[in-house]
Amino acid sequence: MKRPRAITPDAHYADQLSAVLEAMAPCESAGQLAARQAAFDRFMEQGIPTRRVEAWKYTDVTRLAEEVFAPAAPAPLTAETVTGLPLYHPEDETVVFASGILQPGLSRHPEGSVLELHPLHTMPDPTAPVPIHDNPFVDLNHALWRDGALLRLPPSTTPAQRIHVLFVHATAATPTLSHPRLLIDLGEHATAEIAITHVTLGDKACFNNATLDITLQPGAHLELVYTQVLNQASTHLGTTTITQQRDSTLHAMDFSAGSALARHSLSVALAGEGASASLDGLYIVQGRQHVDAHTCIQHQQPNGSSRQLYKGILDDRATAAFSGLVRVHPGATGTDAQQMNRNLLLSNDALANSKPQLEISNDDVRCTHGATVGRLDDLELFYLASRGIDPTAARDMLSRGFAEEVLYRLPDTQRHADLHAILNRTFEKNDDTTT
Amino acid sequence: MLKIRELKARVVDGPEILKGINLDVNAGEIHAVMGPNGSGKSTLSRVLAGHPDYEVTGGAVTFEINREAQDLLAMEAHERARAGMFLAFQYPVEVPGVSNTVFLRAAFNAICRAQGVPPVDAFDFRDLLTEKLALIGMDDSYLERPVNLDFSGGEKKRNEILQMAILAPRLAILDETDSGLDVDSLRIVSEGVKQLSTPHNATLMITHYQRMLQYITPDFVHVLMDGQIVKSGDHTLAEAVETRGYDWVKDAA
Repeated sequence: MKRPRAITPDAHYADQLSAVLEAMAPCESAGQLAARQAAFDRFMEQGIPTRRVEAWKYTDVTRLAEEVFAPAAPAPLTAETVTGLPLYHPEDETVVFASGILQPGLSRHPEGSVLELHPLHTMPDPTAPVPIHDNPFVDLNHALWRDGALLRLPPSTTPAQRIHVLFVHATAATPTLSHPRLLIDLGEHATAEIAITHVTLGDKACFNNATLDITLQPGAHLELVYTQVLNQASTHLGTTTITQQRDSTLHAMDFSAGSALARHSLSVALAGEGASASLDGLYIVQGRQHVDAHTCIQHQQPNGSSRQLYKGILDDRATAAFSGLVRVHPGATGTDAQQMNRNLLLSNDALANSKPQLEISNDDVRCTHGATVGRLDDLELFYLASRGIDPTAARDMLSRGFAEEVLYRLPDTQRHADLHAILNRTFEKNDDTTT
Repeated sequence: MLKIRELKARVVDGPEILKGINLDVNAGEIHAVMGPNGSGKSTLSRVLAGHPDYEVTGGAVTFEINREAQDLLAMEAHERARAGMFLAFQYPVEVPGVSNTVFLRAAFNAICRAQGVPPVDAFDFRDLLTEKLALIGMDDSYLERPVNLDFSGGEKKRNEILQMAILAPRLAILDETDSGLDVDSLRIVSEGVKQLSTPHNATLMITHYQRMLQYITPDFVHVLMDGQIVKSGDHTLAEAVETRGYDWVKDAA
């Protein structure tokens, strides 16, 4: 019998919906509650996709249909814990979520900051669903989110500090489920540097189903750093949808080093003329980790540009998939699109899949793409050895060098150092090479 | 310091390239190995440094470490470097994403540790680098660039000599360091090599032409042809080869 395209989710999801609807009834409008129910119905209708669905070909999430998760309850989080987390810097404007619930006491909103933070419950209709036909997890997020925020920058503003949104997921004996939800809106000609970090406390499993919707109004510029460093037992499904209006610019660093299974779907719609998106990605997996970097760039208007460089480092029995779609719509003349995926295999048992895809519907475009899967270069290893560097240190140094070709694109040196610190923890520590 | 006896080697599973090399190098000596293309010059240098593409099929090489002759061929490439051997590559390798500073400091500290010298911190190492950079006429900006990436031919060769200056080997093997160099770089590189030569170390220059020998006078010159040293002599042999060509050596041998 042919394997089905979807599996019916376990009944506990329905129990969770009931619990959420009951809990939210006092603070949400009837319309909002109905939107949750509708999203949940879509989720149940689609079911959990199997690998027969093209978008999930390389990533098996079927165990999410059967496994029972408890809704995440925010564990007590102290300021000391927060300050020790990756990418944390005291001077940043920091927004902390504990298991999806906003923590005003742990957040830092400097006086006079131009950033507006709106709790999603108070929004008239925060869902405004963007239909993503092959991603039922977005619907699940829209049904079950407990808390969330809209971050808005008024036109022509630039915050004095960087913004850091820290999603802390405390784990417990029973695997927990959380649905972080964040919206970001940069007004016309606003400029910001925003980091989004997903991190766990504890080493038990959690399932983290996050959505992030970003709008860049005309002329806005966003420097985004998306970091996923959940523990090695967890599952991270992130769906990020970015809409760019005329002449807006985006530079994103998409960094993934944690989770047993991580999938980040990053879609960018260049919806205004002359918009440009630059995506840099780095994923590092070892042990039996699996990562899936899924990007989709839609060139909808003329003279847009996009570039993507995704690199992956795979060790042990880890697996990775990169699927990148660049779609150039008929009217999007003068489009310039580049896409590159490079994978470095450090072990014979690691496996990388790469599926770059171009769909071009007009002639006036310049598009290039490519993918490589390779091992460390023997000649480079010998060169290092001939200078006294032993094979283990040489391997680490070359792997770090491979990663650095992506990380050096971060204009902020402190963020660069932050990600290097994570990288260094991932590789074996070696005093010679960690400078 | 280095004793090579009847050394035979080939590219893994390829035909034999070195067909019985004999050579002794002592501290304080500068040797030049000359030979036409395909004679096995570069193979000799790579085999001595432990290049993984080559296999030794016969003979022996010993390298003196702490006054004791050790079996060089039994050592891994990084162990040979730590014991004081250095190969300046004919084609220096590009290492993307690794800065010169990180690379050099890792190499320097690995060798220091192996030789029982305490490693230096980043600041002291910087001072050492600045001092050695002057020797090869390069400025500080070069230090943060990835190793050899987008370097010109001359810069790559200078970089090899900078590494040699910092790692201070007892035996330096220069594999066609003079090829592909403009006149300025040739002079700078040659002066650098000359300054680094002391009574305690030795230099083995592998070369096709006599270019570098105009700046550095070798104590011994060996002509390598078809995998064997066919003639040895003093620096006048290099001049004779330059004027009369390799065929003369072959006929004379």
